[in-house]
Amino acid sequence: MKICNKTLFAGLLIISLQCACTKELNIDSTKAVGDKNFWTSYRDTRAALMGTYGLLRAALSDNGCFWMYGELRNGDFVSVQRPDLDAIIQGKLNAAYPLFNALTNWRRFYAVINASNIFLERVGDVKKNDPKYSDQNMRVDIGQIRFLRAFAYFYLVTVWGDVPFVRQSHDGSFENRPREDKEKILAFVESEMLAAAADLPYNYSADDPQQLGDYYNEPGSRWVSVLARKLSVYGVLAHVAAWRGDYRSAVTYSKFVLDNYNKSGMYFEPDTYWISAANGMFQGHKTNQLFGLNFEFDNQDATFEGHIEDFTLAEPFVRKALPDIFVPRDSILSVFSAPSDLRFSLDTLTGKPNYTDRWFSNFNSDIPIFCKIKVIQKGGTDPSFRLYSSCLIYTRLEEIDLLYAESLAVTGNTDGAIDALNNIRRIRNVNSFKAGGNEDLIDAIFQERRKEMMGEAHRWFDLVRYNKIKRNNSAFMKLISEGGIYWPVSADILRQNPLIKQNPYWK
Amino acid sequence: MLLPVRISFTCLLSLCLQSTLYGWSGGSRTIPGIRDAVSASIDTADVPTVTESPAIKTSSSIVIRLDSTNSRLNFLPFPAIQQLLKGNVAGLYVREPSGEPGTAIDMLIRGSAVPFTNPKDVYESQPLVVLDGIPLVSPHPFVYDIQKYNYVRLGTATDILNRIDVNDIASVRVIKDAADLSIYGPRAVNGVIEINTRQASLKRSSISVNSWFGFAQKPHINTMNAATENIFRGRFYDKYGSAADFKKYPSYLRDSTNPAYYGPANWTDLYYHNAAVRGINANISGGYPRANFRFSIGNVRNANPADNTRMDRYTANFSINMMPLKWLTMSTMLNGAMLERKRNTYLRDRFTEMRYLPDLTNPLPPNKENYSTYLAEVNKSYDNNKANAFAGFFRLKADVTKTFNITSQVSFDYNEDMRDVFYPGTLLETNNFASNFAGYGQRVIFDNAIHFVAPSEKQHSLKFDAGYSLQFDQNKYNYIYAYKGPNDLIKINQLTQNDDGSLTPKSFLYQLVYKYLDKERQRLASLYGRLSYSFMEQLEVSLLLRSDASSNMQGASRWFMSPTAGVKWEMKPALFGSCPLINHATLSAGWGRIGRLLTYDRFAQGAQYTVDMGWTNEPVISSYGGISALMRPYTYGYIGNSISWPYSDQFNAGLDAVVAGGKISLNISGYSRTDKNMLISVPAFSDYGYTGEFTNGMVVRNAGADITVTYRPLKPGSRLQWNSSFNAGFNRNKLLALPGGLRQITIGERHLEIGKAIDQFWVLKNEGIYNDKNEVPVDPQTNQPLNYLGIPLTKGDPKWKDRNNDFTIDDKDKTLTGHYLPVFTGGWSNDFTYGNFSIGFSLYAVFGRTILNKSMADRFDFINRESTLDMNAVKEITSWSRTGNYSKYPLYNPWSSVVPYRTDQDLFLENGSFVKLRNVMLGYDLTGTGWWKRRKWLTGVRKLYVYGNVANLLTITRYSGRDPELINFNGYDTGYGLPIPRTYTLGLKVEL
Repeated sequence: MKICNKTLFAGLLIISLQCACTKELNIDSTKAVGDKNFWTSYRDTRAALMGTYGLLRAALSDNGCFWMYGELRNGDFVSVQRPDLDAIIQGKLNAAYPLFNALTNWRRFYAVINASNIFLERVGDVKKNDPKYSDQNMRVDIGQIRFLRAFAYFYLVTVWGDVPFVRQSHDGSFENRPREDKEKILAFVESEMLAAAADLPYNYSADDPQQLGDYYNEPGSRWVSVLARKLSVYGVLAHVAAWRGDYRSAVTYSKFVLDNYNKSGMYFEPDTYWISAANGMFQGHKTNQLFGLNFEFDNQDATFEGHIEDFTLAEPFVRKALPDIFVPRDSILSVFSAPSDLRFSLDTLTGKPNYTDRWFSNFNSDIPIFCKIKVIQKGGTDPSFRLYSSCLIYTRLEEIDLLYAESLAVTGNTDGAIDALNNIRRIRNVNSFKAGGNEDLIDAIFQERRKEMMGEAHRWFDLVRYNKIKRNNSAFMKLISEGGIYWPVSADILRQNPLIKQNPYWK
Repeated sequence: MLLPVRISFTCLLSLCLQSTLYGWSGGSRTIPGIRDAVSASIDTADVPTVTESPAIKTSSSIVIRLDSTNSRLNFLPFPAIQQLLKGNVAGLYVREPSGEPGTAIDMLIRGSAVPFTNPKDVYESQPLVVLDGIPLVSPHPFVYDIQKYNYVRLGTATDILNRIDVNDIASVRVIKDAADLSIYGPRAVNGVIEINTRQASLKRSSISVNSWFGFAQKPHINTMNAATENIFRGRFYDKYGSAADFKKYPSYLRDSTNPAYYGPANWTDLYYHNAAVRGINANISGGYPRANFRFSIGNVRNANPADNTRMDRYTANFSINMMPLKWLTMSTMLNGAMLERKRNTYLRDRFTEMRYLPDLTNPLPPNKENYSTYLAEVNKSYDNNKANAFAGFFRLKADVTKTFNITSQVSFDYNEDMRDVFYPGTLLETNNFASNFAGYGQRVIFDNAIHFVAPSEKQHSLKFDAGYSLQFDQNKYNYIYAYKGPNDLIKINQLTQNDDGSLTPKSFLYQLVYKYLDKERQRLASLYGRLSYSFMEQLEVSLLLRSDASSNMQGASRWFMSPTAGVKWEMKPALFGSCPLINHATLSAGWGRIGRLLTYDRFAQGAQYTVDMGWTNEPVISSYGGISALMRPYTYGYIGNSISWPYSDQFNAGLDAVVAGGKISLNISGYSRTDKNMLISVPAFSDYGYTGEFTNGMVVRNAGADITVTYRPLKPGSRLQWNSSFNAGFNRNKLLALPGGLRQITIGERHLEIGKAIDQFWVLKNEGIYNDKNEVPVDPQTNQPLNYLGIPLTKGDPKWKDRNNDFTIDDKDKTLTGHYLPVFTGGWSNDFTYGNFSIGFSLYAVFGRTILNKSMADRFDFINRESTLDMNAVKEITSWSRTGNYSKYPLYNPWSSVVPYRTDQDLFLENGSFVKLRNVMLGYDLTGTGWWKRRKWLTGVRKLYVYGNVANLLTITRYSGRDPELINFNGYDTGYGLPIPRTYTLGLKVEL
């Protein structure tokens, strides 16, 4: 049949045309790598590892939340004119400002967790496909990823208390999770971190027996304080244990850092000036940044937003008339009462500040500038451009020393605690603590932390631990017992996930 | 996986082929893209017959003819096609959010299926514009992905639809019904605007020149200085201010002796100027029956009296048709345009480009002397915006037999977008800034089709078309910006190439030079077959079946098959054969399915890794430790492996009638368009780090009616003529389903709820103010006062309605109200001719639309707005003007932590309906006068027409703010957007 032939011919023509163009229709996007093209080489594990660090940095930098959670509430800072920051400082965490929508949302931390879960599930594929990917490289990668995931959980628990507990990526078949008991999560965090610490080197690309050769073909100088090291993990572990009230373990972990810091090339910075210098402790990546997240200027990682400088600096440091937050003069004077404190003190004769560029500047104005952290652009003095590159330091040696002192004091080792406390006091030229004086040791340790770590997002968590130890502030104890120390959960999350209930305190 | 689809399609097509056996014949319109220029001009039978009217309207599509001699549209000073169509087409809504020449204007045909939560969504709802059969590339929203602020699109942000000179347009056809749309395939899902250029006339060669000039008039603005602002704020401070609040009083308002702020507010002298506008187009056409051509060039300057903004356009259009052999026709068309734009100097737009905000403590002063020193610095910057567009085709048509022909066509469209910027350091705290943007969009199309007309028998006629096309799209940009050059003399960020191919800046610091490039590709393959049958020219049936494959779809679901069917019945012979009152009446109905393309090529990748590690206001962080990083698209939303084609089903029915001897013609059409399986990012799975998951399944229905009535009461040929045309489009949308069986979702400030419209505001009901703490209701169970999200309300706070009576004001108390898209749009135009005089005017109306007066909310919320150094704190020079009715709003405590002047309440919602007198024109045809006719030597001049125009004459509205047209995509009046000016022009058209 002629017609049949024609039909057949047309049909064949169409099929062949479709075959031809089906191939034409496969295009790989230039901005997304499909699953099928990923997890094939060590470049992919490197990108995913850096991505996980990057996600953690994003989680802590969004709206400067590291400081919103850790520094502002009940802290020493006062808002100049921003009502939203004032609400945080007052502890009105259910206020209606747009900022709170972002701060109450924990999604950013779960991005870190999900990225880690995927990494752990897929890293084996790279091992299979890429002979260049060594066992040791994989072990170190896994160690970091487990640490980062545990850190994200630790931070979640300290901010929100009970949170959903997800240990698999559930890629593509997600299901809502209820909140899990924080103690269970903290136990997981501690065991994960211990496992990670066991596998991580003291330094990268430094022929540490646990990481031989150049890590991802980059020299050691590149990795200094960019990645989590063994001691970074122990430092954070000390915090985990202290938060759990397990001060015996906190002693062990912090002591491990203090016993081994020279293996990572760290030292107690003898010159206080270098803590606050524009090109000092907070600039770039430096070995003394025990655990931090970098914003290296030379790598174009400097940003306009997400740094404490964005809130605290103003004229003459940067072109901004007033800072968003500041420490009032009275508070400065009451906190830094030691006459020769190298961080801040007044000259006993002239009554003028001894140091005008360390912790505070513009002391004699109504609004002193908190200028301890001021890495503008690369860390110079050019005030014209508010681009910041300061490292977000979670912990440093001085902080661990004071945590060690706190842990010893709580566990009854008063002498050791005093030694550790005086170690810092000595460096900062503050009178040594003497046993039997009228100073309370715990008070003294926390006061020293308050001074040393001001602006480094520890104040609120310190207050929680302090009150848990002291148990003498009934209002605060009520906060602790009713869950008021935790942040409310964003309405966005409550809408999405019916299994999540609002923190009862904020209902 | 592809096999079943292929086979089924093949079978269906074979059915179509076979059905030719049963003697179907006849036809409706030619296939677009195969519009045959030669035959159109040679064979005038194809030209619609109602030539006196500039608009031919049917219920399914509307054709506006500009080649009829006196169509008023030919003489309007509007450069953009959207402006030309505004108010002239039932069912087409044109949103012109700024009078700034050359800026984006959106169109919606029969509403939107996409809820607007982001400016990017607007791109998903735009109709396809087809120029002489070439579907033009539309701008791609992907540049928004690297923008910190999305107020304006990166690059020149020029609306490329300014590219076509009205003098080159023969007709514009706005297609709305599925039966007519489906031939264009998935790109036509939002409707089609078909522009057909003028072709050479075979009757004679001709030269014609149309030229006009005029000016855009400076508007009257009520200015204010700091004294007015001081009084405004004083009331709040007196009532609620504490001593601490007084201490924070803004410094620029404190010193009443400062002439910069407290002097005369005469900034308008520098900001507004009467601006000259002009246009000229010259064209020549000629030829023989076997070959003809038309060539045209034109220039238009469009200007706005505000902020020295303007656009210069240069256009050229060339078309040639040849029949080298009797059976072979060759046609070529080339259309090019160059658009140069002088942009506004809004601070916001400058900061958007720079991604940096200076200290905003002291705003621009309203006094001329001080403002001029700022302007002097602005004038040292440069901001070159150039967009070029170039489109064309080459077409072969072979008449194999009398009833069978083959067409083959290559067509392309290319447009580029280039912006070079330099801002001197004096404008921004000594930081200068340079940026260069170069982007392009291109489309290449290969079209092959066969057309078969069955040998006509008396009663039956049948036509069959089938075609295959491949479309290759590519959008790309390179963008580089740099801060802090060595000085203000080096204005160019020069780069030198290193040996390894990388680029190093010559004078800017490399750490402060940021480079971006992005590319989006899409390929679309289409196959279609169409069968049309008509019976005695009374009944017409057409059936179209097509299959499309897009490279943006995932392999498993790449092909999408969609059928369309239409039927038309001319009722006159059967029903009203003897009725003299009814001259013509056609009923039509159609149903069709059209696939909807996805805009991004990332969807084809399925589960994927990308760069997504930024945070609020830092969207483009791409590395950690200097090493590039990849992760799942956490903030973008999870993209899984089961994404399928969204599609649109449309049913429509219409009536076209001509009654009373042609005095009245009427087109009514009703439609119901349901967009199904729509892909949206459903907010979910934050426990896995995602903001949401892209899921198919949203269903939105747009239903409505379009009506066009034309009334010509006077006898054709009489000295006085009156032609009155009224059009109205009524549209309503409704959300029918959400993915995964959800009942409602909230995306940012938008709330979507099944059963409700998608274009509503989600707000609290405001019922006044608590003047005293005791007025706040107290929960009898807990003894706690009514609270807002846990914050107890008190004196000076708004009285929000607690709808669920739980003594907490939260999202559950919000209602969906208002519509940011209009329920009704329409226009009414009238044209009179008396002898050689002609006069006409057009009204444009929008009803049933709500505006959220954000600029007023901002004014009252000054405490929160100015407390943070962010974009909300930017005060433009135009903020020193007074618009709106302040007395409408209660005096709340602006320091209250419930943010009393928040925008998610109905306090700032207003009726945004308006009627505009858009245009009045007066013309005089000199060639018609007896004096002219007596001058024999003037007979070479076929036409000499002088005319005067006033555009945008009058607005009638109850809206208390500015021009109710100047509204954002989401229904906000932000106070931005230059006024649409009143423009006066005089012109002359000569035809030889």
